[in-house]
Amino acid sequence: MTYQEALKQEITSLPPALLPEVLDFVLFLKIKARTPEEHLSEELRDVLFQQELQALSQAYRARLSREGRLAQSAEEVLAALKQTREEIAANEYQQ
Amino acid sequence: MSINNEWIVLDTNIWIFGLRNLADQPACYQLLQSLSKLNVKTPFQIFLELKTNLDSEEMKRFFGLIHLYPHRVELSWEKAELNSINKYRKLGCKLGDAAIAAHLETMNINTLVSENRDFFEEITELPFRVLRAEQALQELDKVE
Repeated sequence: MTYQEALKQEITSLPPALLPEVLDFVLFLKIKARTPEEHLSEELRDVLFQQELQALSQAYRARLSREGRLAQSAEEVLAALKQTREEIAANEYQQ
Repeated sequence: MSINNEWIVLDTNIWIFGLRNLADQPACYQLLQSLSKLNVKTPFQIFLELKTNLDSEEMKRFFGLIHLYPHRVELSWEKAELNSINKYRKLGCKLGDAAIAAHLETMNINTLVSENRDFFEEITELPFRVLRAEQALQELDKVE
């Protein structure tokens, strides 16, 4: 049996609720395998990082702006993050 | 103890404020810009929180970003340990904060960088310190 076949077989027997986690991990591995970043020079890596950080920030800000959330105060953002934290923890660690 | 030579955790709010990159809160973005000088672990709880705040394209970019420093930025897929969570719950932490504290304990992390010190300031028995982004930057600058 190949790895692909084994993976397909195992995935079909997973509870559907776990599939998003599997997808996240596969996406992470896909990006990890995408380019040989190990061979980049430190300087080039730093330049790329700054560009990518700026691009991600701009994309995020643009979406927040479209959704009317860019002007939220720090307190509002922190309150929302707090709520998200509790919801996720309640879901992950129901006691 | 210094963030120049230890593994630290950046709380979700550091990533989110950093990506928001607001002019009146420059420290979080500056800290993210300094990632090449830090050693950062991202616990599963924080990963899930980031995933809730970023859309799928933004998450792909996030993965790409941290992949540029694979030896400096680590993502953990392990859940926090229930025994440890319960311990921090008994100390007064909310469930989510207890999960973060439990992650830090398991990972042997001594420093959490967070803009929300309310989470922990009522609790004196935490085995790690909490720095704001501005303080983390100052500590980073001390060696440069």
